[in-house]
Amino acid sequence: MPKKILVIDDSPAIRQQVSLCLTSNGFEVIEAVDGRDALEKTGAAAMAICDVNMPGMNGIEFVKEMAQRGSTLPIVMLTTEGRPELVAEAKKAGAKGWMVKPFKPEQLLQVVNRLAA
Amino acid sequence: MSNQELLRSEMSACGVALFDAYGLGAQQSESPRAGEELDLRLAAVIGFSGQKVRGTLMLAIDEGALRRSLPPGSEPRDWLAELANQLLGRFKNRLARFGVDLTISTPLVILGERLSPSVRGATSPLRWALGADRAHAWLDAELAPDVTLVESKAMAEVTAEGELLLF
Repeated sequence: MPKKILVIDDSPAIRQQVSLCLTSNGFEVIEAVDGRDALEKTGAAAMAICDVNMPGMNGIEFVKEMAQRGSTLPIVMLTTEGRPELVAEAKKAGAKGWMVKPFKPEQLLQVVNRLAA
Repeated sequence: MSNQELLRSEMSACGVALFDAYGLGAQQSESPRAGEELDLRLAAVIGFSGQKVRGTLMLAIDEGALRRSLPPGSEPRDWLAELANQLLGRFKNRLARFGVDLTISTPLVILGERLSPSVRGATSPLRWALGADRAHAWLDAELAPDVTLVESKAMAEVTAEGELLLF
């Protein structure tokens, strides 16, 4: 059964790009438009790829909320942001990685294969 | 170099890097001549603000280049919005080296015919050549009066575009 990856981004183009990369490599994708939407879709996911700046609940708030709920879902941030204080905040909140857009498909797959165990 | 010249120079470099990353082979190009018709039909606009800076970016890309870089299954308008977001994201990361932080708003895409932005100070747009196509960006940025942009190595530890960190 294909592993399900939760892709959280307010940009339809990025969701499409990430989804295409993952589905063409045997994964199933669940899409969410922000952190709040994602909270309702985490059930079957093996990991999450999550934007940082989103309207509604942003990516770091999502990571914090998941940690507060005791979730062990691996979350990797995929964002245009590169500031060290944000990277540190995400790491402290429990994120497993940080990728700065544009992503390299082979790099994304490497991370997903490693974390979606 | 004045603050405004520096901001334009940084944005121009960001555009080259971004368009190159999507295989568009970008080169900086001279700004359009006064009165030159650009025939813009699709543009993305994003605002930004911070303690030291505020402003707006408008990005327009010729349809040919937009389609050449379009991820399969994506809509051109969504992709243009994402490119504008990534262009401003790069700009934000560059400005972090100067101790300037900013927050980026959500992009708005405008579809029309002969779109003609009116920018404060009559700033000419930045232009990039993308093969036979072109991209234009209008950067309307206002820095706080007491700000002098000085690059600091201590502020240079920004994770670069395309980079991956695993914790």
